[in-house]
Amino acid sequence: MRYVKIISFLSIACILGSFVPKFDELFKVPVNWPQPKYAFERNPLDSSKIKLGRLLFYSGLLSRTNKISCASCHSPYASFAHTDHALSHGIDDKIGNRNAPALVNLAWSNSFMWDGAINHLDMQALFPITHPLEMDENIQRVIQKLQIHKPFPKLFYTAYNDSTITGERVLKCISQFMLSLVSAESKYDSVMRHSAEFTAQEKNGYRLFKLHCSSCHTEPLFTNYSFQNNGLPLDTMLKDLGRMKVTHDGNDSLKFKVPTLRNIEYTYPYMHDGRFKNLPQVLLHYVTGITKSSTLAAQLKNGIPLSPNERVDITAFLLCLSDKKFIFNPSNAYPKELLYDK
Amino acid sequence: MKRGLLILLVQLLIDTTNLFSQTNRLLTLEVLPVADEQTVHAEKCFSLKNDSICIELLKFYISGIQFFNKGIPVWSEIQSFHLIDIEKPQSCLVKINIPDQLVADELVFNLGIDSLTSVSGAFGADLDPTQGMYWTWQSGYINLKLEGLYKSKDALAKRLVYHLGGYQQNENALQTLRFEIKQLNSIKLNFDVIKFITSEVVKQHAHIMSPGREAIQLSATAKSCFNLVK
Ligand code: HEC
Ligand code: HEC
Repeated sequence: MRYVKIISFLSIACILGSFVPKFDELFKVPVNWPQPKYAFERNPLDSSKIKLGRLLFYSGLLSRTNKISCASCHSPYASFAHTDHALSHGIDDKIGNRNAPALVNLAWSNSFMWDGAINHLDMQALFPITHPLEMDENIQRVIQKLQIHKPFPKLFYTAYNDSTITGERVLKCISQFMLSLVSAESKYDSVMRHSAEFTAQEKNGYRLFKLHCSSCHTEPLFTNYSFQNNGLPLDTMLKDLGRMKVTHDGNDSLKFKVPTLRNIEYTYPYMHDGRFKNLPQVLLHYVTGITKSSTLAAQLKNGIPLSPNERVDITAFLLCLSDKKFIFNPSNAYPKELLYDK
Repeated sequence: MKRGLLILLVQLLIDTTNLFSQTNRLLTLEVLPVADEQTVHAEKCFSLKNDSICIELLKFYISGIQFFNKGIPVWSEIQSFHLIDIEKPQSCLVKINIPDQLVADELVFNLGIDSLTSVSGAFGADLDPTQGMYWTWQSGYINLKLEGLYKSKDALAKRLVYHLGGYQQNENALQTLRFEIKQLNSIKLNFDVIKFITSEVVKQHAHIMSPGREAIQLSATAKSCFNLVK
């Protein structure tokens, strides 16, 4: 009887074991991080699909003019945000109405866009593809183009054992590439793993950060994924009410998704409309710029009291969230295969 | 312990033989958009008293097909998502694979896509985003799309555009339909386009393209436009 138990235990272990390693190689949950929210079982990571997703992400074919790619607004060197542009510009240089956020650690997120209008990572790409100010295309035409453009049919064949291109496959491959964008190798992470130390200034910045900022920008992802009003005055030109547009609930007026602060050094300008050019401006906002309104977050009712020195210290800490390995990771960069496509 | 194992084995044997002995057959569920007893095709026009309507596009989802017998669910289709599209006549013939022995007195299905599916990412086949039934500026499926031109003798022509959907709690537009059935050989349902076009909600709103109260109201109207052909 005991043998039966041992054998069945072993066979179960084998079955489980045969699934685990592959996933682990492609997606490592960093030590002490929570489990991701993305349902990988519906879109199991696979290196050929990640590669295909990367090519799609960098391909202009997703836009009407064949010139704008996802990377036009989400640059790897800006942690996949849109540096220098307050409001992202897309097709024919039309200006959009929000700032492109960084694309990192998206596997832990379960609502997308500044107002959470998109409920699943797989469906995110449809928005820019069809947006008249962004890529201005439709997914049917994208697929027709991919069907006749090297190297896509071949890559779909490699990934799926048949070269049929469907909307589902395109979207899931783009997700796979975005899911692979995990950033967890900053100085902050090294300090947490006891392989580096903060300077005295960074240490004080970290202390102040935990005191004043981490209720929203919660470690280790530096966001709690909630929607908050952090006291920015309404831009009277854009009139962007944020989350309320999605829920139609007045209690959500002026609330935006708390953004991650990982790689914040690279993702300027800041806030949903890119109104602040640098970190000192952001910190000054939290100290003296809070605009009162009925939905303002309770923690910010009286602003955050920080002396000029303390602001410098917090900034020093925020720079510890830069992950150069991630920013310069060649496997996230423009894929050379696309060059032969011309 | 040994006895338990034996029972388990016997059970397994019975289950597997059952699996093989159970044969299936195809049931055709015909879902036909009609106007004045004629089938509606794309670009076809129909006259209403003084007015006329030309339907340019009509697509909707039938999902979660189930059969009940005496109020108890007896069979449900797995992966049950069917897009009915007047441009594709084949799509109006929904083929479902039911067990030979099935006894049922009620057909139940949804008009639209359930909220769980709406938040679960990309799917293929009839749910593929290339079908044009997924919203892009927000998330969720469009349950029913109808577009057409309404011409009236005493007013300007107006474009009617309805994209009905919404899955969030207070915006849920999904409708569940139930029909008493007498047989399981072929079931025919009509969707009465004239009833839809002449409804109160359509009179009041020429466009409904986002989730909310109007979308829910018109979805309920759409539900009432289905009838079983006896
Ligand atoms: C024209 C610029 C532009 C292009 C092109 C573009 N994006 Fe974006 N992206 C944005 C902006 C702006 C936002 C924020 C929009 C909002 O919140 O309303 C955004 C948001 C996102 C988000 C949500 C991130 C989060 O954490 O909420 C993801 C994911 C994303 N884009 C992926 C893509 C993909 C994939 C493509 C290519 C198919 C793409 N983007 C193309 C500008 C762009
Ligand atoms: C009540 C919650 C809350 C607290 C507390 C808070 N923030 Fe924020 N933070 C937000 C929200 C929400 C946004 C995005 C607002 C927007 O764009 O409309 C944001 C944006 C930012 C940004 C810009 C990020 C980007 O990618 O554009 C930075 C930097 C930032 N916060 C730093 C801090 C620092 C430093 C502190 C502490 C001194 C802090 N925050 C405290 C909620 C909070």
